Amino acid sequence: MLITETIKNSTSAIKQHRAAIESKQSAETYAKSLAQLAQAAESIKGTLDCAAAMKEKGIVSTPLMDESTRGELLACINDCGNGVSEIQLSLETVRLLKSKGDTLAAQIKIVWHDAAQRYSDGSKGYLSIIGGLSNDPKRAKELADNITQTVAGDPSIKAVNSLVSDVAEAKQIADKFSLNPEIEGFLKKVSFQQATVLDLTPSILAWLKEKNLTSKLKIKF
Amino acid sequence: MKWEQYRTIMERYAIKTDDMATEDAYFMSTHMPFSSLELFRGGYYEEGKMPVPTKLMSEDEVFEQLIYNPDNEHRMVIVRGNHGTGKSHLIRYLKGKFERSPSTVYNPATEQLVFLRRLNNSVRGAFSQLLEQDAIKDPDVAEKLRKFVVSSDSKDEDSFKTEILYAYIAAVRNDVSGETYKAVQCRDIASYLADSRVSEHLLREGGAISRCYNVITAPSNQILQDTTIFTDEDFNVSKIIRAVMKQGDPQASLFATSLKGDDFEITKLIYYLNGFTREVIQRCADISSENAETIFAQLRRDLKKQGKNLTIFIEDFTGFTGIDQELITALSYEHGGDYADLCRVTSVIGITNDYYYAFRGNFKDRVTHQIEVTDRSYGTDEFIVQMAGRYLNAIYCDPAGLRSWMDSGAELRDLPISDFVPPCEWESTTIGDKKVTLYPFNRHALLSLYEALATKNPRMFLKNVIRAQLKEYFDGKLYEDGWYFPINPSNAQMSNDPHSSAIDRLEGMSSDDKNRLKAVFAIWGNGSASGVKDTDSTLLFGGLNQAFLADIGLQTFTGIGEIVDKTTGQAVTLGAIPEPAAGGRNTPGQQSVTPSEPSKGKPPVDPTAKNYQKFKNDITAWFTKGETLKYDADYRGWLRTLVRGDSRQCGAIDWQDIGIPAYIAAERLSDLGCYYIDDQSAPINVDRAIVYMNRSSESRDVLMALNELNYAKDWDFEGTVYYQQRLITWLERRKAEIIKKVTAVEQGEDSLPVLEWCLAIQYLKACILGQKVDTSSPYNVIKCLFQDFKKDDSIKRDTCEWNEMIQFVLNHQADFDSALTFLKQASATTMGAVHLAADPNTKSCYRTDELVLAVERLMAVDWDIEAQLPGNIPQKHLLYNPAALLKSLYPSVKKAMVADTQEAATVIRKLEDYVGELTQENLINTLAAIQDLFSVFSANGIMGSTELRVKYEKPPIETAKTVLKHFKLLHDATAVSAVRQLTAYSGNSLHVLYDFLRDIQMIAQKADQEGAKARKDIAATGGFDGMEALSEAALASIKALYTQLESMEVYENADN
Repeated sequence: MLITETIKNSTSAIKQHRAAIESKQSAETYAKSLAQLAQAAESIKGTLDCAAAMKEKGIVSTPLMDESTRGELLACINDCGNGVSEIQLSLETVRLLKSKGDTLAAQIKIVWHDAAQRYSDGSKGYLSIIGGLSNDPKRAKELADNITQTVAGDPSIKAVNSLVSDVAEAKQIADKFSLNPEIEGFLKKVSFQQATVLDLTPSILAWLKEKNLTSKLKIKF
Repeated sequence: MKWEQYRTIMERYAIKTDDMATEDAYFMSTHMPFSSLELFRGGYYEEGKMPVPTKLMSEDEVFEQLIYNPDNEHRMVIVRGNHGTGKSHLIRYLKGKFERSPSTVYNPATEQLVFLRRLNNSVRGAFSQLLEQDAIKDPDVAEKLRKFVVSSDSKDEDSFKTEILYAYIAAVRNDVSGETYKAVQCRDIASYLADSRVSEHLLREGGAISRCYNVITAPSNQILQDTTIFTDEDFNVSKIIRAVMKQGDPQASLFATSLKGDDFEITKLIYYLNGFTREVIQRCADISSENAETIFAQLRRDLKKQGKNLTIFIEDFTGFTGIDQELITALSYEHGGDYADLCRVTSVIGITNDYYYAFRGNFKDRVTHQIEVTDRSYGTDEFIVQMAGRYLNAIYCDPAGLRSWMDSGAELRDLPISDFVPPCEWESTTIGDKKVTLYPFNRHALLSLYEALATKNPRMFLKNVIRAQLKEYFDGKLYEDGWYFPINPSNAQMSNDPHSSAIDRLEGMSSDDKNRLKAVFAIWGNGSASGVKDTDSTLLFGGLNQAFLADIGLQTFTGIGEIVDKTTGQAVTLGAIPEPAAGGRNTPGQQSVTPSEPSKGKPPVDPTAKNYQKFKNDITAWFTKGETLKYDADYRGWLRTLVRGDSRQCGAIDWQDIGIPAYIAAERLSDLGCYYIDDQSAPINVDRAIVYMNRSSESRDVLMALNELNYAKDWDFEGTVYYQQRLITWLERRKAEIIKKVTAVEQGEDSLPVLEWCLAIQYLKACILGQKVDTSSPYNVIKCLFQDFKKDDSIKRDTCEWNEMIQFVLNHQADFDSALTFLKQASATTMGAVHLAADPNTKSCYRTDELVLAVERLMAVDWDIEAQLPGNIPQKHLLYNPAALLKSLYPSVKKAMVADTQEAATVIRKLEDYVGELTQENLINTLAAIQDLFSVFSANGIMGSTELRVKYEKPPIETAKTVLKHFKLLHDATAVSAVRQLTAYSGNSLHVLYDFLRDIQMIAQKADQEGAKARKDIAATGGFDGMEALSEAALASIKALYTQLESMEVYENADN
């Protein structure tokens, strides 16, 4: 055989081999990108669900996402979609989507802390005043702690639901006490250990007797 | 007295100790019967463990029981003994006795007698004798041996020695037996031997190769004593070993390292190399073992057919080194049975004990009898004295009487007894019942001198005692001055110190004479110088007759101290002492020398004058009495000076004026063998003579003239004009003949084209060694060809025939060097005496016109002058040597060119298998493909040969043009003459194409390998399953997310 033929056959085989290797590497990259895309999509969906829940449950009153963020996200999702359609999804495209999703999540987290704080402040405040006086002070404390933790934690559907539920239960406990302003003032002083004997007005004492709380209050020098 | 005759007889006939070609009359008259020869049966005994001899025999008993073979028994008798013990003598005696036996013992009609003498004791000599005696029946073997004998005689010594050395090297290089060294070590040893320093040492005068050369070609009048080739002195030279270690090639250096300071390794190497001697000699003689064995086997077969048996006497078997084993084998087959086609053989073979013990394996089971000659046979006092008596008698005898005795049957009882009369009553011995004188020896002197010999055997005794002492005695008697007799080899001292000291104090006696006197008293006498006046008034000193002292030139000695009168027992006065009986020069009135009152000795004779007279007598005797010239070597030297000149004077022929290059004249006339005088004593082939002198009055006058000139040192002596006229006349008459012989050209003929031959040799050598010759102009060619071309080890040839040509050049380096020297010197005009032509420092003018003409003629015939070489080329002839070299070189060239042409066709065919037709386009495509391949290799991380990649990375057109150029050279040279092919192939185009082919083959192989590997890897790489389902799932989730996001409530950006 002429050497040109030999060389031709050889180079052809070598090139094919290289292509095969590249193809396999590319498939592996694609598969890896798909896996990361799935994770990113899941994460963004969670964020979106959380944002929707916050609005729906009244934790926030306004939409949590601006239009441009949504536009960017939509564009990224679109790119990823195209990549999948063409089986050329790159890790960079997925990383960009994930990055956008993470940015959105970070924004919602910031909003969450304030909004959740505001949402739970009233109920939690009453609960801290009357919790110890309630029938189930332990539960009242649990509720107060849960709300504190949820507010401090990351936003999620679960956190939203938990916060709404805990706040609702705290309201229920507070509603059972139906305090007038004088009693409420007295209790506030007690909770801050500023109440004196002079504060024990007849109406206060009557309320204490009515609620069988006399034996629960102690005098301290 | 016939002192000159005695001396001549002694040297020419009686005591030719190392040369056993003694005339039968002298051999028989001096033969001492051996007794107590030790007989052993069988052939194999260990050294030093010889059993007690079966019996002790006399030489006649050996003859009757072993040589005489009436029952036709197979016999192989070896005669053993140390050097000089008389083995050859015994064998010659047995052969002579056999030859002279009656037909009942030896019948030439039924018995072939072959006698190989010790003379010519060389491989060449042995072969010559076999040929002369018609002992070689196979015509092919005979022709080979004849060719070897002729060529070894005619070959240049240096080139033959080089051939021997390379034969050893080749034998070592080809040794794959692993018996002594592994094959790889053998190659190292071969490289070591081939190293220039080692080679030069081995080739030195007296070195191993000289010894081997002598074993093969020793001149016929030389006898070799030893056939051991390599000795410790050849290798135990630390300077050479160190030099090879440092500068030798890696293989040689490696082996030199193993030799350094290791005596065992050196001994091992010596033993190993000596083992190749047989092979080397066979190689040089171009005969095989089988050929050698057929020599005697064929002879025996032929004799069997003729109904004859064979009795063979070999005086010394060491001369057959090289074919000894084969000859022993051929002689050892017992006739009958499987060898019914062979005749009966009785072989009597002389070998030294050393040889026997070294090669005893050859003799085991083959030899039927061993005869050992020991000092039992010759060492007795009586043997020594009787032997001396026989030799002295033979020397003093009339030669004609001895020859007549020989012719009449050589019966001991009829042996002539000399008429030599000593100057006084003297000791004698007996031969049979006849008394023979021992003069000038006595019994005490003979035994003392024998005892003083370092090696005591008959040969040494004859050579170093009888001959050496007699020579001085005869010279002293002949010239009567400058006495050197007796020689005192062992510096024997007088036992009587006071007498010795008194001799030292003698005045009026030269110190040489005092020493002679002391030697005489120590060796001949009783060790003292005491004087005794015998009853018959004979005066004895130290027990020696005063007449003896007077006879040997010591007549001035008249005793020391008192002389005792034996009759009266009283001291006698000097005046009463009688004059010596004979030989003395004292006159009656002359005052004797005494320690107290010395007389003056004879004034010393001028040795030059003595020689002058000696030569004059010799020349006169040659012309007037028809005697042989004794000092012809001197006369021929004078003739050489006359014709050629020497360092002191120019020659008498104006060589350069008559157009003969000084170099040619100087070289052709340098060897004394070119000068021949009728009846000269030196045995020289007269056919080689350039200057020939017949026996005539004119020649006599020429020799006389030269003798006078030699004596007077200039042309200022009596008769100068006459002698000059005779000398010039003689020379002028022969001038044309001498010139003709010097130039090797008949008158009227063109001179030999030696310059052309030498130029052609240089040109061929250059081509063979791959050196470029600039042929753009004759001048450039001459300039080029005056160089000494050397082998370039970087040039590799692809056919063994071309390498053989190179080897030929190396093996014949001496011949090529001679041709170059000839070219340079013979084309030059030397200023001054012709003998200066050989001096490389002599300034000279080149005869450019001759050189240019020669080059033009050579170029016109494309340097191919084989057809123009003479048909019959004389061997070893300065002027014909270049032609002889060319004649032997051209066949090698032709053979190599045939091989290279075939190889070129092969390589081109193979290349075409890879490239297709060798066109520029195909080559460019191929080279481009190669570059592409290397590029792909590089891109894919495949390791390829960097050397090849670099080699072929230049533009394909360049490489293609180079390949095409060499292809065209080879293609065009296919159908031209061998020398033109040599010119074409010299540039090593074949190697270039072979290189290219090898590269292409390697590249193709690599491409194939990598292609196959890639295909295999593709199959192993595989695909990636489930990708589609994953994609669909991803797409669905993305879509859902998109929809969700799209439906999400958002707020507008502040800047919107």
